[in-house]
Amino acid sequence: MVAPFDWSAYQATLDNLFHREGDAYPAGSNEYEELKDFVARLAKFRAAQAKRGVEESTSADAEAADRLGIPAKFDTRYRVNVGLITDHKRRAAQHRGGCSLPGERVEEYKQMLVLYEDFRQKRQFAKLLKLQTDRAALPISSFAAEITAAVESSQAVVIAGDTGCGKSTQLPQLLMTSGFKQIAVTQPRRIAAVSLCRRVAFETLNEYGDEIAYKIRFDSTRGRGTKVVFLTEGVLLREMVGDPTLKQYEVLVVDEVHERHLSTDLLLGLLKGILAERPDLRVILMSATIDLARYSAYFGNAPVVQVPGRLYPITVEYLPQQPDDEKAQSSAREGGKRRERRGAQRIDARPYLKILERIDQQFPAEQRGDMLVFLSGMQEMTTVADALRPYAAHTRRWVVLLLHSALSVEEQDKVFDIAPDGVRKCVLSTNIAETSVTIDGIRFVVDSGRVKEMTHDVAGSLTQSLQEGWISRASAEQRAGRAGRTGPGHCFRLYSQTDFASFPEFTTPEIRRVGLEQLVLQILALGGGDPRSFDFLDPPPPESLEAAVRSLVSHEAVRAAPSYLEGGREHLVLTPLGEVLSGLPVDVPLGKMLVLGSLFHLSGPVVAMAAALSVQSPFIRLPDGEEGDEARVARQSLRSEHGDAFTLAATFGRWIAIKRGRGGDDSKASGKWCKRHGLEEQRLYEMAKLQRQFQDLLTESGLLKKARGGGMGGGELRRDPLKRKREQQQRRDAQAHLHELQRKRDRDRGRKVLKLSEPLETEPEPEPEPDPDDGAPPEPLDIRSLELKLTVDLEALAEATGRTLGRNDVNLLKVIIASGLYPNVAVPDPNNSQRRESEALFHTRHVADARLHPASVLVGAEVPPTAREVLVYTTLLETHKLYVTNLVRLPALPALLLTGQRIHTTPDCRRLLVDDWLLLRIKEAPDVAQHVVKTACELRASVSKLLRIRLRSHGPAAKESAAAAAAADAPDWVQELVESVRSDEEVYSDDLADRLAQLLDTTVSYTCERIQPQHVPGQFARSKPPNPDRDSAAAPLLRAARAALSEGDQSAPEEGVQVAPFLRWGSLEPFESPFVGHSVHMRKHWQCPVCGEKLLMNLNEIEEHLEAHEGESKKEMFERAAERADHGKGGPDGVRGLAKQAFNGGEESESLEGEGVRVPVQQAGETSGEVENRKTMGDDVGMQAGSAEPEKRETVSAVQRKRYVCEQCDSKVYLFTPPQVLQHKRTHK
Amino acid sequence: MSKASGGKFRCTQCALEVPFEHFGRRPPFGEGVVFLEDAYTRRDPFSSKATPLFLGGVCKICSKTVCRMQSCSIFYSSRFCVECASQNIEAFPAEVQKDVVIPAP
Ligand SMILES: [Zn+2]
Ligand SMILES: [Zn+2]
Repeated sequence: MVAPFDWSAYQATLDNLFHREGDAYPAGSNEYEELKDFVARLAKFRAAQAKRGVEESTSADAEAADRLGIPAKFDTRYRVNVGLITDHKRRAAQHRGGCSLPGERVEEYKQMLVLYEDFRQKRQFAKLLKLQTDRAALPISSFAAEITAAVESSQAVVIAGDTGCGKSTQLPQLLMTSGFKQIAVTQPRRIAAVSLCRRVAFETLNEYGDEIAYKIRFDSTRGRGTKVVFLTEGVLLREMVGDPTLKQYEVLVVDEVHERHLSTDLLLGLLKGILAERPDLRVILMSATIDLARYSAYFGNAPVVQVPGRLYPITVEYLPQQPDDEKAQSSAREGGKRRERRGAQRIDARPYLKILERIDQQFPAEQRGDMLVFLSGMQEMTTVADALRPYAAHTRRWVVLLLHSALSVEEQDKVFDIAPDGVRKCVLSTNIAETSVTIDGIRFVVDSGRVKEMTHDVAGSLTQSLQEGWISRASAEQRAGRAGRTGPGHCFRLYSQTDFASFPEFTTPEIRRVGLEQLVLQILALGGGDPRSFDFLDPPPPESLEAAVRSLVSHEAVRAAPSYLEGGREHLVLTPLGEVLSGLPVDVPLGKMLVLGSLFHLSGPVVAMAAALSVQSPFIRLPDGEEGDEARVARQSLRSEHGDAFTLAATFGRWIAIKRGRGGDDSKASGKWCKRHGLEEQRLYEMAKLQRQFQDLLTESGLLKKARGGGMGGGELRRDPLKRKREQQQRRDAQAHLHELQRKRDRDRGRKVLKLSEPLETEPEPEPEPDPDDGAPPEPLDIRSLELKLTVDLEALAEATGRTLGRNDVNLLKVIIASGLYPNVAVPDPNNSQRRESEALFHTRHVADARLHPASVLVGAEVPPTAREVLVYTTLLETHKLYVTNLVRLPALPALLLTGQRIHTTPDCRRLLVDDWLLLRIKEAPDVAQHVVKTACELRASVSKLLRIRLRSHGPAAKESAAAAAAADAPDWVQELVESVRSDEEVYSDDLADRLAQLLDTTVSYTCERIQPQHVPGQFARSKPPNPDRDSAAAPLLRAARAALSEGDQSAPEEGVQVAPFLRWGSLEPFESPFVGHSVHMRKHWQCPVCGEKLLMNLNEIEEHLEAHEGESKKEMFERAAERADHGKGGPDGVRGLAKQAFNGGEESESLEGEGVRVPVQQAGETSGEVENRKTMGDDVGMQAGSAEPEKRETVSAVQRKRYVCEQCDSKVYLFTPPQVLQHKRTHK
Repeated sequence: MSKASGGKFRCTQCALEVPFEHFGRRPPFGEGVVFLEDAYTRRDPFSSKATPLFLGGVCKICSKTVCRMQSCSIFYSSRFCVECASQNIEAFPAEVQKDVVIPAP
């Protein structure tokens, strides 16, 4: 009996001889572990063989063998076609004191290595064969002929297939085999584009070439040899700007059409338009089996190929989480969706834990099968993960993983890894795993039934919010289907069957839910005609389209121009700003910030801020208590009391400084720094990439000058074309190098076996932190760091982001941010001082109970937001509570004056109504108030003018002339001239910048309050001009009473002068209604200011009382008036100047037609005649009557009225306010 | 003989088509793995590190390109396609003979 040789006893020696780093099977590698098993089994086998004494035979025909060069005597070694080059001999020789293993044993081991390699080769080859046969077995493969025929016969084809039919991976390959060479496949999501590209490259075994590529917002692997490119819809739309008929493609595949993203709908509409122009173009729509007839009809009865899915039976179990009736009622009431935040609680993780326990009891661990849990969002995922992890750790039967779109590609890859034997993966996911990302081996699906969607909070308003609601039945089916891809599955629905029945059939297309500003811009930029008559698959609600247009008009991105071709109907035209914005792959607010930032030479910080606001916050939610204290303290140094954008920009700046500061191993330093501050470094890398992209976009649109070294904002040096070319080449080389590295990374990664001790996914991947004293272990290639260096000019970036901001800079940045984000404004509730900080409430125009997002730096600010401040925010987040996120604080008066869309003033400018919900009272003399309003108005007009001039001079024409001058190798002085023509406005903008910044520091005293919508109409001066000949003293009061009685009166204010599109002077009733809140039915104490009588009356009775005063004689009235007359300051001159400024700032050639009056400026100055003062019921006439504070009333201004002799009405004499003069004149036209 | 090239490897027996990266005995990828015949190789798509994957070789007798599947070829000190191997079956030792697939006529 021969015992098998125990190789493991000599492992250390063998490792030293054969398994060093760089050898074929380095110690610790997957192959090494497998090899150890292989060797042990082989030793056993050999021992058994030796016992049996097998004899080796020889060839039957020695001569034939000799002729063919076959060794006649059999040796199993001849069967092996592979060999290994090893260094063991030299290593053994180096080893002084000899080797513990005899020489022949070492050689035997080497032979075993070769046998192992042979075994491995065979197995890997078998895998490759299986890959190919698996593809052929996919349901779609049997439809190949039908699909090819359809594509040949029709320009548009609809392919419908359910999960698992393989359409996304197989169709591109099918098209390739059919001979198409330029194939584009769009995906709604970035990850899907990348993962599909990898999958298809892998399946076609093309992962080392560029035949299959992807192109997403930050990254492209496309090369010369590319035949199939997976790209996002947004990227394709951007390509269409330069290539409107998509000449570069032969086939366009629009995948996941049923998801109906905004960009999907836009793309479909545009493609439909292109088909006629491009008879050779093929468009293929791929969809789940939903609503197919509609797509077919939209594309002129396109043929539909339906591929059945390959699904195993799925058991569905309903596990409702609260009594059925209660919930069914609530969901029926809400049409199955949204608006339930008041009832919604923080997610209860117990049901999920119970399901895990049940699975462990019911199914033996050997039966494989992972679990996929659909939750509505990040917070829910974290909550559930926190609850499941202790159980997973305790039982050692689960690995909990997260999957959502904000994760980096590497992090997402983890969900594809294999769990060790006896352990199941539990993947917590958003609806991203519903269709976009497919994880193999899922047997259990848990469906919360919830989803979060960006939604318009109020129809037609542009405030977006992230809302949670029930999913559609189609979604529920998709989710369940994920359990049956590899075998029979189970789906647990955490809602009742009644709930399910009440779900909407399909998910509402995005176009019916979200803000359409970008859509409108893109349609206009892509020549899609008037968005209001665009041929949509599903037309958006007209009011939401109109709201988008209105918002764009107020942002001055779009203007309405009369079109002569369309019979004088107004059509929409992009302004130069709109053109720039349509090319920026960001929302209009961010785009506008970027543009303004460039104009005011603050592009460094603004670009950083915009990038920061576009990615998820890098700040990790710190654990409560001591554990998080260290990071909390460290973060203090990054905080800015000005708001989140400032804090994020500062954080980014510090990180960049660290990145730049170190030489080679910056990733270690920055990783440590991030860890200490509780930052997720991946987000910062994303910011850097975005930052670079924004900068490129701005340079491309001519807003930023390309400074030396790619920096920004600095002085410019013309560079000679040769040098430029060389630099471009260098950059291309660097890019190529990077892609090679990326591919290597993808390869190296492979599919790993998960470890049970996998770190918590909510934390950033801990950076490898080897002890500095621990020799120098090979540094793993930090591709992110490398990428950063290759794509970003750290030097310039550090300069741009590291600059310290002065007071003026901060103010100007605030103005820029607010200009972009308006109307996303929140004001503190007056009663906040009585609340705990976390309970402090904030009002937006439509919502009265928003809170500051806990992640905001304004939570725990030294000075909490005051009543004289407004906060601008990016998103209204609706989870179990409502939150405003990404906040920046500004003083209310200047902020609203500079950003409000419709500002109404009283004639003395001491009371201002902004966008029908914020009332500002300036507690200063009228001339001070007027001065502030005038200054703000002038500044805004100047900014508009600057935008128009600068963007126009950087528009296509100017770019062409500059490019032409450069291309023609024109002499320097010509190029400089082109340059100087463009930079006329420099000085102007610097001065403007200072003045804007200073306005924020205004010392004017004022208050800001929110008024209820029903009290808005009462604020406006009534349209019927008061007639001093006939009006009694009671008249204004009577009007106010009547206004209060007829609250619904929505008539547009017609008093006053439309000074600028955003400002109407004199349109507020100078006499402030004392009847706000006075009930029609309830009697309240009231003193009549006319007769001084103290009364207990309801509103109806007050009206009657005042009507009686109407009967008073004119003489009585004038006597009363004379008693109280006083002289006011300011007046028509001031107003005239104001109007003139605003109009001159605007563009004379453009019509200015708001909802107000069109006022020729010259006419405003024509009024003449002696000034006469007319008493007004003072501002403080209230319930307690006007007699209370006579001194104070001295400062209350009187409305300036002039005698006006109208020749057209038989020289009648009027006492008119200037606007009334104009209005009166118009009646004669 | 070693030539770095690319293109499609195509087995004349079973029509398997796979892109290959290298033809020769010492592929440029992978540490220390060499082949004892002129080999069509590519990097192993299933491996976490760069290592060559052997796809097939050339029949010593008829010079046809064949994949490594046993139904297409056999290796015994050299590569033989199943056609040639079955025609010369008596030249192989008994241990090898039992592995030679006799192709259907
Ligand atoms: Zn073959
Ligand atoms: Zn042959």
